[in-house]
Amino acid sequence: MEEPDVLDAEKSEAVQKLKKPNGAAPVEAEASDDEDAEAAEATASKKKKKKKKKGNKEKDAAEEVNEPEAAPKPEDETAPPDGEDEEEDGADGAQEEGAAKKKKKRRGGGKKKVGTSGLDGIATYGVSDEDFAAWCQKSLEALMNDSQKMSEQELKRPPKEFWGYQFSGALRPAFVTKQLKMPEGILLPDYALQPDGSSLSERQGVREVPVLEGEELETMRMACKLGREVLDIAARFMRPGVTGDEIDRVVYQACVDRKIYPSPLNYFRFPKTVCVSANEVICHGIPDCRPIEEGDIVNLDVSIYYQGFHSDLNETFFIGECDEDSQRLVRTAYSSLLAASQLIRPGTFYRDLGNAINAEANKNNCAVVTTYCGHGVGKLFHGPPKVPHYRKNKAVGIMKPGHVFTVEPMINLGNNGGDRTWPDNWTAVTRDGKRSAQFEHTFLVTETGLEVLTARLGTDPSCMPAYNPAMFQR
Amino acid sequence: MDASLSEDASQVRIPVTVLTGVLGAGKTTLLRYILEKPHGYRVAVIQNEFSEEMGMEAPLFTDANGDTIKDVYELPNGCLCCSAKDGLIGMLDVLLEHKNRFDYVLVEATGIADPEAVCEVFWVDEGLGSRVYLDGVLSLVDAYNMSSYLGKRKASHGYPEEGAKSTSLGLEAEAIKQVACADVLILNKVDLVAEADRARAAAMLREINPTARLLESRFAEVPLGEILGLQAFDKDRLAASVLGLPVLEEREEGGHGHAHSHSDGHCNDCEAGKLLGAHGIESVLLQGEAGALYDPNKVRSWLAEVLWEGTAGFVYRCKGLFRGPPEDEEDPPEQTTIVSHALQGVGKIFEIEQAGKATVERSKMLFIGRGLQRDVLAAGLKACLASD
Repeated sequence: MEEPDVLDAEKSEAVQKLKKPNGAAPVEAEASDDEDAEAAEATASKKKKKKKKKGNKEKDAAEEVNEPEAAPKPEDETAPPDGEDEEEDGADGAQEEGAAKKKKKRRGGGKKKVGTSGLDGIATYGVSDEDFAAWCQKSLEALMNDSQKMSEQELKRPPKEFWGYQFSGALRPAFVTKQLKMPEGILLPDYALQPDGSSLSERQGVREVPVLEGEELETMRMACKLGREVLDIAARFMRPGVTGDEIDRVVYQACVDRKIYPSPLNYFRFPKTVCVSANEVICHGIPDCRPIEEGDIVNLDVSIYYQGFHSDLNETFFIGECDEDSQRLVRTAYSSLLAASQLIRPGTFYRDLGNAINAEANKNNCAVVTTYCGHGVGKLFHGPPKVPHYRKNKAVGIMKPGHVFTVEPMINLGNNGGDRTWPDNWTAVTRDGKRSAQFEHTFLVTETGLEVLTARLGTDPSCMPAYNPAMFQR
Repeated sequence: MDASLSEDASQVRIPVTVLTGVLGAGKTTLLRYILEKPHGYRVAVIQNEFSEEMGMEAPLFTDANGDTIKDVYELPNGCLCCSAKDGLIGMLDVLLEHKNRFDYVLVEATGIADPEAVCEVFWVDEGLGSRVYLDGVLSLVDAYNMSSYLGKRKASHGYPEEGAKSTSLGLEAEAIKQVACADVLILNKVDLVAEADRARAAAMLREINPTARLLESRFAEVPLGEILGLQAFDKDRLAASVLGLPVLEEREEGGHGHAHSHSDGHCNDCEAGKLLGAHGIESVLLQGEAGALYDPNKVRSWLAEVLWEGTAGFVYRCKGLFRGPPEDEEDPPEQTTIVSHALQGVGKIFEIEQAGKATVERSKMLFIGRGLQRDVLAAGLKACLASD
């Protein structure tokens, strides 16, 4: 949909200087002037993040080519969505133009509400479309891999483990490139270096749902904001023709830049930094070299680990114009999560969320996937409580202030909520090949209700916004 | 429309029986019996680990293509045996690919001391449309071990602490919990004990768990029909088990809280009541007023507090049948507005479901656990009366 801007000569020089961060020095590059200026204007509240970025830079004060700090202050996120964000996003000419370009190219879904940023489109964090595209290009080139030299045919060939496999739908897996490694200096979760990717802390387990407050809660809030930022970056990058492999590299770079760890990487040997799940894939899609197509629906599931805390969120996006069933499906997945969120307050039983989700799915002739559940998130990637999405479940636990957990309903078209796992041991697909959609937030239970920790910039975090398909249009 | 159940209309669900019991109680012997004797039952046994005593020389299990399935062995008597060392769910999945080869699954839960953990795996939610269901929990108890301590022990009031390793009873604390949660108790090695000791061991087991069926065995040989196909968690079968509980008369002075009545003011078992002090398990049977109706939603909230917050002690197992209005989603049977609701609970996991076929005149609820506060429980139930 959006063509990448052509690199100018100056910037391509900078590209040469980028090193592959696989275990080596962090990515560094010459910054352009205006980025420096914007970085200097960074607000006090973002200093922590800035420090992280400057972190282990051995060389001079060269700024990394990535999102400069001009995003709105955290406090602003609680303000009602209005034009405020557009202004704060560094309304330089390029930005306006970029936004305008986006508006023109928007297709499918609903109407874009002009001027109500944060709700429509994806937050830009003060980076113009040009600069963003440039950063993406640099990142991809810095992280060039084997796929570069392979022919289209080779890239399309499903991995060995799939030979003879009976697929339930039309989607086929493509080449999966080698697993990336994070550079030194980033705090790793306990499974990152395990050969089997298992987590000792999860195995030891806690029985009680942890209560987060004070400093820990603040760290968790930041982890969720960072997760949101990374998802927004991945979504902004995604468009027809782009591959999951490229999205993985973009997510990787975004995490390196922020000195955070992409939680899926090596979790129980998951090979990549993000889950990319298209069409009939329910969840845990492994990013591969299949180009994303017009008409696809694609879910991006991002989790990051920051100062000892994981956050977890996902959204399903329309790629170009999608058929009516897909529109209904995505709307249903969102509204079922919304219905569940409206029950979140102290005293609610975790088991009741499934009733709300299932009711919404049934209303729209869709089915709830039963195998995967929402979960507590924080110090553990997956911990108590367990939050099933189907009705009449026996989940244990009552919500209390300070509980933090995800709700992530996976909804299938049709009446079959069953799933099956591909021979890659990760990708979960529908048994009948029909499409599946999902949305996920990390929620905090407050004294009076909830806080959507992974809310989109500019939205009111005390509740989820009403469904607006323009938010998920690529 | 229940979308999740529609996957395979002809799906038959396989019953899973869980076998608990401490080391040495005779589980291996029971498993050998199941896997060797020509009893006619087709059972798939999942063991924690293959034990050498099993003598796995038996032919490997082959699938339709003639390929051998790793780690699943077929025995000459038609039963299957496999190991859970690489993961219980995974092994279950493998077995279920060939479910036409067996009718029952027996899981030997040696490594898992806590019955609640095992139930969590198999007592699957209705909304899952699962291919298995929890049929029952068995606990194998060593009569010999119990009796050699019974003779020496003195009555005391000391309760073993929650989480304590062992008591002076020949029953470890975890074994006591297993007994409390079981549906069938197998008192094994009765040939090794004197009659009086056997009787006392049996009495103590009945104390700890008034509703479990008690079988006695030598060499762990029990008729398989007594331990398989119990449907112990079937809501429609609950009536038989709950209704069989005696109606309580007024509580005795300094009452024991155990579930039998004292019609003549004297109780032989109350001598055994001294044992109560030592093993610390009590059962509380609550009874509703005649004709009273209870609101199932209120009961759910109340039980969530009791079981999850421990507001009335530690509850290991609960069962009940109560009268109440039908739930919103369910269609009430024609011409009645009163239905029965079945309660089942193991540890923190519990479920209340409408059980249309069962009827009961007075609601009954049984709680088995430690440090139970009868008054608190009774007050809690009373607060669940349906408002008009």
